[in-house]
Amino acid sequence: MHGLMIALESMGDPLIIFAAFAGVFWGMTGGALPGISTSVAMALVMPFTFDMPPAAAMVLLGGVYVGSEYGGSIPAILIKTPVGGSSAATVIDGYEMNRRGLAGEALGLSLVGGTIGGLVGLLCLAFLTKPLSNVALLFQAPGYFALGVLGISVIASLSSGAVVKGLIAGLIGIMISTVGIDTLSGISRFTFGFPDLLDGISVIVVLMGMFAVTEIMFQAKARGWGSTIEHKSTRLVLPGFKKLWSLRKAQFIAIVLGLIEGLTPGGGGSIAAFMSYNEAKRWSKTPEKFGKGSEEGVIAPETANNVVASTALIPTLSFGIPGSNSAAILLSGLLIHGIQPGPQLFVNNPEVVYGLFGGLFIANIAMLVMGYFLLTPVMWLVRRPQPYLLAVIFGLIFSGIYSISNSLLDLALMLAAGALSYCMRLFGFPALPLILGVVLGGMIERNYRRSVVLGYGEHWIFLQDPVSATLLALAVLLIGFSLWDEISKKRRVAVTAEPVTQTAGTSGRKKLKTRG
Amino acid sequence: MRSDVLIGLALIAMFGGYYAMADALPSSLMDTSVTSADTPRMIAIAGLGLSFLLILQAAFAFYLQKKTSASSSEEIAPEDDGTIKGQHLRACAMLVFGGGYVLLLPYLGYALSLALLFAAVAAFRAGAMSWRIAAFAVIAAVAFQLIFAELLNVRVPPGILAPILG
Repeated sequence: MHGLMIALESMGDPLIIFAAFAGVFWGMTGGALPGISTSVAMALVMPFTFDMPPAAAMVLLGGVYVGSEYGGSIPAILIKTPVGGSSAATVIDGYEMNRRGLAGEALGLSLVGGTIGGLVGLLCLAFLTKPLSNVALLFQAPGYFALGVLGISVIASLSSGAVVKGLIAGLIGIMISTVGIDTLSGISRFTFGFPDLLDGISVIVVLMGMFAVTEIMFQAKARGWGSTIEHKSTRLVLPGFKKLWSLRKAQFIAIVLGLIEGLTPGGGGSIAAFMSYNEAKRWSKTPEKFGKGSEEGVIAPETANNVVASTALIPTLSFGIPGSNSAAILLSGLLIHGIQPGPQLFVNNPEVVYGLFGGLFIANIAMLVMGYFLLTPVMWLVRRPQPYLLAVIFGLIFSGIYSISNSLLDLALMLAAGALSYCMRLFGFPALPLILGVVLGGMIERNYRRSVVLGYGEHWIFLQDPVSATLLALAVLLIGFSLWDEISKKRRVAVTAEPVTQTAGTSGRKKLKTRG
Repeated sequence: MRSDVLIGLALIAMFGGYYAMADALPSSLMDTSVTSADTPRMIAIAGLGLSFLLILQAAFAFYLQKKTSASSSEEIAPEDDGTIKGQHLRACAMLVFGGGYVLLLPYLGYALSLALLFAAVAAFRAGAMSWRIAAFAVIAAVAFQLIFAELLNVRVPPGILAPILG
């Protein structure tokens, strides 16, 4: 009841309302621009949250998350260009509806489906977070250490075909987190004489570098003014209640899958969107319409990815383990404001967590309102020539980071993180484990050292503590299973490889034809 | 496969260096049973182990590939290396522009450095410089100066435009 009162109060707070609308506005605008994914849009706005009260800062970031899910569907439907994984499933039927002259209807389904998904996800967030976070009361120092290790292991094990690379990336992230003054002993580590490094390397610098700068680098590979986008005026057509009722099965499937994926570390909007699309097709009375402009094929993925936007916050707020890039940025926002996730969050900072719930409610309503009015200006922005967009985004990145601490070293480190991430992408190293390593590294080290002190210098404490032992065993099993799975797949591929035949490729190359 | 082996070796060098730097950390009167160097050492050892595993994995994949392509008589001709290399160079150009911006910022100031950055990035992406790009760079830089320095009160270096900006 107390929480509900705080949430209702926050919904009347002008700053929270402004943060929700501003976040959704930027999320929709940024999310619609090719090259700016949800996480990049959130990372870009992060520096501006530093001077805001924590609740408003979290609502702003949450609003960006919510808004960008719809923003991504605009170019997906209108110009067959998904700007992120979660809008890739929308392209399939959304663009087909556009080709049949039903672009307005497709966008309307996306908007309303997303709003419904967001509100349902918010209900799940509001009711599940506290009970789950009470489980964290069972955790002591060894348990928190093991939880951090498990979190990174889970994400690394999901890097299909690259488990070892994922673990290495996680270790590099933890390495980065060791830079700066060690708070337990006062020794400065790996600062190379730079005073700016005494406070360590900021998470936001790494995030901006690895997401935004890397994306700029990939966008720069092409040359020219960008594709010519035919100017078509599109009027949004909101679906009526009858239409929504007829699509209830697809929405229900999307909500269930979105909830499961949001709770699962590494789940994310993309997986939820595609799974929802597949299952909606499987259970549809008219599966033959999928791929040809099916309304269920649009509303299912769009509902799912908006459910995930809220439910991904459940493990983030309960345990401090973010399940996706965007949730990792939200977690960073919490930590930057000195707020520790877990059960104490509800005791020490109820205004933040319930304020966030209230703010997300406003954000979902704001998405419905602004989605209706912003379509035309957003499309105008998407149609700007690529060189101008790239330059402005680059300028935003630098200005945002510089505004935090006026440090040239931060700008240089951001570029270095961008270069690192670019190389990692080229060589198949996943980025999320590294991000998690940076975000969780401090927590992992602190709790490791506390645990060993509690265990009088012995490491048995990690096995004696039942929570720690269970989680570490899970981590080992998960990694072991993933490695075994990887090796088995490679062997299976080798065993079923066809005899070699020679074919001529279109580029005149002679190719070996083997499977896998 | 070869790239994974090379990366594995580079990682071994990196983690080895990290271990050496951790070893060189001074001790503190506030140290407990776990010193400030212990966690970095453990990370380095784990990293070394995983790097060896990466190399082994690459070798295993190579062995499997050899096993299945034992009867092959043709080598795969390399991809168009020129195109791929060109794309990587284009990507790296963004780092060069960013680095140039960082170097020039304290001397030229925020607005001017930003204008040069906008012009460089836009012209590079477009393939050629034009008066439109130059105009865009100036207008965008002025807009950013107004938004960040004036509206958001971010402390930015005025540089050589200090007398004009006041």
